[in-house]
Amino acid sequence: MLSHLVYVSVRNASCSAEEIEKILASCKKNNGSLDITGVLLHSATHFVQYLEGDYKQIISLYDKIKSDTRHKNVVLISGAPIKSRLFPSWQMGSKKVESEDIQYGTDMNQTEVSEFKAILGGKGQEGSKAIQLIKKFFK
Amino acid sequence: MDIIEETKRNRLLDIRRIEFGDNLIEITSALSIILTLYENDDDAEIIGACKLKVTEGIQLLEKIGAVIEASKYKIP
Repeated sequence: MLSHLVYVSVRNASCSAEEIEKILASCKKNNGSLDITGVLLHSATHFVQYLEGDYKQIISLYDKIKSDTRHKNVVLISGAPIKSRLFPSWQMGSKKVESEDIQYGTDMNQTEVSEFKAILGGKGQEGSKAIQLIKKFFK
Repeated sequence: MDIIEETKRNRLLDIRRIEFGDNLIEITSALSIILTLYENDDDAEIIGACKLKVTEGIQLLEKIGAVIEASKYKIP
């Protein structure tokens, strides 16, 4: 069943910008074959990741993600069926959220960028209250 | 168990497993997650688990002498 999942975690101090690039490269490499899409937000201290795809696939991926030593205190904040994907063309979009000047590290089109900005800006999304919470983790 | 129920169960387990570490940044980073869930979740069991963890985090902050920081996380 098509579902979404959102988790938040504490970034380990040893997780450098290079490590984040490796995470994104790995997402782009592996998520395509699993038909998983989503977005990773990162600040100096936290990660928030939104995943969408078949529930069994994303919950299995979540179990693997939890054991990654680049972060800790992983907490699942939302998981629910969805009617359609919010980010159908993102193998894994990313944004460093501390600065408005930093560009999105992904291949999504302008419409999707606008959509994501709207979500972070508080636009209502059906069945996904947790998405509204994402920005609160980065206040 | 449906997806919503399984998510709640996972969230509860994740909250209970949170480890604060022993320094200010680690403790406050974990506390910020728990406090955000506490303020926004509407499930009594999740709120209860968050409350316990926030108390644990505050005690750790006080233990390392971060009394002013600890006061920022007090919840009713």
